[in-house]
Order: sequence, then C-alpha cells, then structure tokens
Amino acid sequence: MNETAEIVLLTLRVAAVGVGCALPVGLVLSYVLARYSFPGKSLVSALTMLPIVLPPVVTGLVLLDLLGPRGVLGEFLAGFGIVFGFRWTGAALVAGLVALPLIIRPMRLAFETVDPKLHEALAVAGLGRFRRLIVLDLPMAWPGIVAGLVLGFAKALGEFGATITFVANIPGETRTLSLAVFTALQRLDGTEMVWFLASISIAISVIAVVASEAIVERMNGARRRAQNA
Amino acid sequence: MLEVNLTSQRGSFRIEAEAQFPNGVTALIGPSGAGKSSLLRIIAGLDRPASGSISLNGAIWAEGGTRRHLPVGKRRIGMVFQEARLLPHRTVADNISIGARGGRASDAILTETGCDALLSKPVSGLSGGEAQRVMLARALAGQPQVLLLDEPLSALDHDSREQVTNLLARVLPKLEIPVIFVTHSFEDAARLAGQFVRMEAGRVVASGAALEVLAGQGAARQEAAVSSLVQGRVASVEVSGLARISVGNQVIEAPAGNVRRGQDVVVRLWARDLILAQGRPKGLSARNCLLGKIAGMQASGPHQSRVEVQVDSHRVSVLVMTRTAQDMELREGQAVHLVFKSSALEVSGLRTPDDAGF
Repeated sequence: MNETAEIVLLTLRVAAVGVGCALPVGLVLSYVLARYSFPGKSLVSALTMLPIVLPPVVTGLVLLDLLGPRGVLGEFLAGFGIVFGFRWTGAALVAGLVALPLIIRPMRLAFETVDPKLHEALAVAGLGRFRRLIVLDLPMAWPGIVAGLVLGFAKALGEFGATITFVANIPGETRTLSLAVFTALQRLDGTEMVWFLASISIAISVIAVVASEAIVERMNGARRRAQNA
Repeated sequence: MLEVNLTSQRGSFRIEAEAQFPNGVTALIGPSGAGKSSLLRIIAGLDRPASGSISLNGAIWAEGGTRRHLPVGKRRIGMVFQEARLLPHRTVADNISIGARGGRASDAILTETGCDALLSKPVSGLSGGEAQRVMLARALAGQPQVLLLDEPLSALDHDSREQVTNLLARVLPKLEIPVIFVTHSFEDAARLAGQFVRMEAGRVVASGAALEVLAGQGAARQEAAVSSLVQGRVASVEVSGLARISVGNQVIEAPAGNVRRGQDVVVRLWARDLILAQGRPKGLSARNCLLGKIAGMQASGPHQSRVEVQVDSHRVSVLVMTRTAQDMELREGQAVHLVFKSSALEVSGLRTPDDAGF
C-alpha cells in the first residue's frame, strides 16, 4: 500500500476508534453533569477539561508512566494481552482522551437546554429515567451530540504532542498524519511532502466539519418541517 | 379519598397542610404564593414532605422523615400544568400514548377531549387550547388514581379558555377519582368544583363545600380582598347583556356572561365596591340596590370599619371609613341599602347535576 494512504488510513482509524470509545464516556459524563447536582461536581467538571489545558507532552508523560510498558497499569494490563505502549491502540487512547473535553462541552450544553419541567411531566406520566433519556434528552440534544462528535474527531485527527510522547513515532504503527508532517519537516528535502501531508490533513478536517454542519442543518431542517407541517 | 397531613420547608417558605380530597373535583384556591402548586408537587411525588403523610384510600404514598416514598411514576397520577409540557419533536398521538403507561388511550378519551382529529399533528402546530386538551388526554390516558390540574386555564386566551373550561365541565364530573383543581378564578372554581380548599401563606385555612370557603370569609386576608358571595337564580337574560338574578325576593342586575335563564348562580360582591345608604337613593348610575339590616360592625384597620349586612340569608361585608360610620350613626339592627354597579360584579354558574349528563 502507498505510504501516504497507509498514514491517512491509520490516522482515520486512530481517530475513529479513539472518539468511538470516548463517545459513551462523554455521553454519560455530559448527561450527569448537565442533569444532576452532587458533591464534587465542580471537581469532576474540571477534571473532564484537564486534557485540553494540560501541556500535551505532560499528558503523554502521565500516560507513559501509567500505561507504558513499564507503567503501573501497563504491566498489569499486558498480562491480559492489552498493550497500549508504542501501539496504534495507545495512539487511539490518546486521541480519545484529548477529544473528550471537546465531546463533553457541546453535549453538556445541549443536555442543559432540555427543559427540566418536561422531565417532571414525563416522570409524573410514569416514564423512568432511561425512557426519559430515550424519548426526551437524546432527540432534543442530538445536534449538540453531533457537534461534540465532530469537534472531538477533528481534535483527534490533529493530536501530536501526547501521541509522540506516549507511543513514539513508529511508521505503520503510530505515525499519524501530524507525526508524518513532523517527520517530513526534519528532512532537508521534505518541504513538498510536508505540504502534501498538511493539505490532506486540512482536507480531512474541513470535510469532517462541513459534513457535521450539513448533518446538523439537515436535522434541524427536518425538525422545522415537522413543526410547521 | 386522598388525605394529606404534612409539612414541608423550602428555603424560608413553609407549608402546613391538612386536607381531605374526596372523589370529585376539589378546587384548591388562594392567592399567589399561598403554596397551592407546592402542595400539588408534593402530592405528585416531585417533592418530599418534611413530616406527615400523604395517603390514597388508606395506602400511604409518602411519610416525611422516613424512607417511605412511593416514586412519582408509580402513583398513577394524571397531571395538567399551567403550560403545555409536551414533547415538541413528537406528534400529538405520540405525546398521548406516552401517558398511557404501556397501553393506548381509549377512543372515548380521544373523542371526548377532541384529540382524535389532532393525532397526526406535530405538537408545535397546536394552539394553546389544543395543547391543553392534549395534556388532559395524556393525563387521562393512564387511567389515573388522582388527577391534578395546576392552573390549566391561566395561560390561555379568552376563547381557548372558554373551550377548555367547557371541556373540563364535561369530563371532570364523570371521573370517580379525587381531582384537585388549582385556580385563582372564583368563577372557574364555582363552575367546576363541588368542594373547596383554601390556602393562605402555606396553610390550609378553610375547606368544605360551603361558598364561604370560596369567598375566603373568616380567613386572615387583606381587607381590600374581602368579598361576599350571594346565591341566586337567573330570572331572565336581557338583550342588553344584563342578567336579572333573583336573590330572595330582591333582584340584582349583573353582566350575563355565560349564565342562562333558570340557572343557579353565585354573585361575588367586593366589600370595597359597596356603598351603604340609609334610604333608597335616586338618580344614580348604579343599577343595584339591595335592602338589608346591619348584623355587626368591627374595626378594620386604623381608619376603616367592616360592616356586616344581612341580606335575606346572606351575610355581605362592606368596608367604610370609620368616620363615615360615625357620621351616619350606623348601628346594629339598622336597615340600610347596599348600592353597587352591575359592572363591579362577578357572576358564575353553579355546577349542577345536569353538567354530569353531557
């Protein structure tokens, strides 16, 4: 397979798997933070934002110490055949982690806009929490969920610092687009390659954002048509 | 029978309520901030009482200070709120079926509420009155044990209000469950309810079927809000829009509104709107003059007196300046005329057994 195609496919796989794993976590956290009050809520909220404010190298370092080949958890998980250090799975883990704050923020805002009075009315009508989530929260918060997914995916595509620190820059295993651009920059004759890879990176990001806008607009349009019918 | 005997504390606002709600419609009345909606929330299970209990036909729903609390969804309550709380992205049919607790709303409910013609409509296209009809259909679809109506008419325009009031007048008498109807409106309470519970400042201050409860007499109220109710029968309705109402052997003229000839009605007289005269006055624009006898007098504030006038079997309160009472030499047993304008009256048709026959 062409090296560039291999890099692009690896980048997409890393971002998709990372965001795919972060999505359920993000959904649960954003829903809980939006709907419930509990002791330590501010702390939990701050922790979910941590990956976006921590220097990426520090994030990578922490992951290396925890989940690397000699990390506390890394050695334990290796016993079950689960390895993150210097593997694409580790790159996916980093991608999901740094995407999480951008997934949670719009989802939380979307869940917060759902009127609590509607929840009360449905509770009186006999609907439990899970059914209220299905018939009320998810449909009402859908545009925010899509927005969170796309923002997270875009962030995951471009992740660099934490990835290179945690899983290094191994061709065919952990060298995603950002790392490939960095590698090309190190070469004296790499200018053309840098711009080629950068263009691909920009194109993927733009396509993702435009697609998400189209999806949200289409959903909103369908809702407006249904409301005006 | 739904029985509440509870206290609740939310911030500085305390509720102390002891009341029984038998099968049939009970109007829960009182001024804004009296705690009516808060009591409804506790009955529904949305809030917990601090102490005391709520029970339905002897089965305890909640007991303050213990873990005994039947969850809101298991109380089989139908509830209609002031504003329509419907799923905006679903159709009318979906919204009604949500209340059916796994079943489906009976055709009778859909027909009765007029929702059968709205089923495929999106909720956002409904008028205020239609939305409240859908709310009522949803509340009834689950065959509730108790129906709670939290000011369901107050956010509606005049026409919608009339439609929904007529709907409630048709539907509610057929329900053999406790129905609690929160309202500010004396007309709505008189028309729809057979029992009244009055709350003021978080407390139940009066209850029963007597019209005095509805008028708020005997309660610790601001004197400016004192009113009396006089019961009568519509003798005729004139083309001018005035109804002639027989009260004993005297007649009151009042705006006819929706009342009809032969109907029993209740007329509200505000104490601040009444004038006392020692002889029958002439040449006044006020159309009403009732002869009565002073039954009692008491101070009502530093410069004001409250005069109780007996008109046939009714006791009517009148507020006058104390100086005026002295100048007129008012005393108990004295015959006086009560003078008042027709436009100052509120008239409401009383609920009759015929209403249940619709």
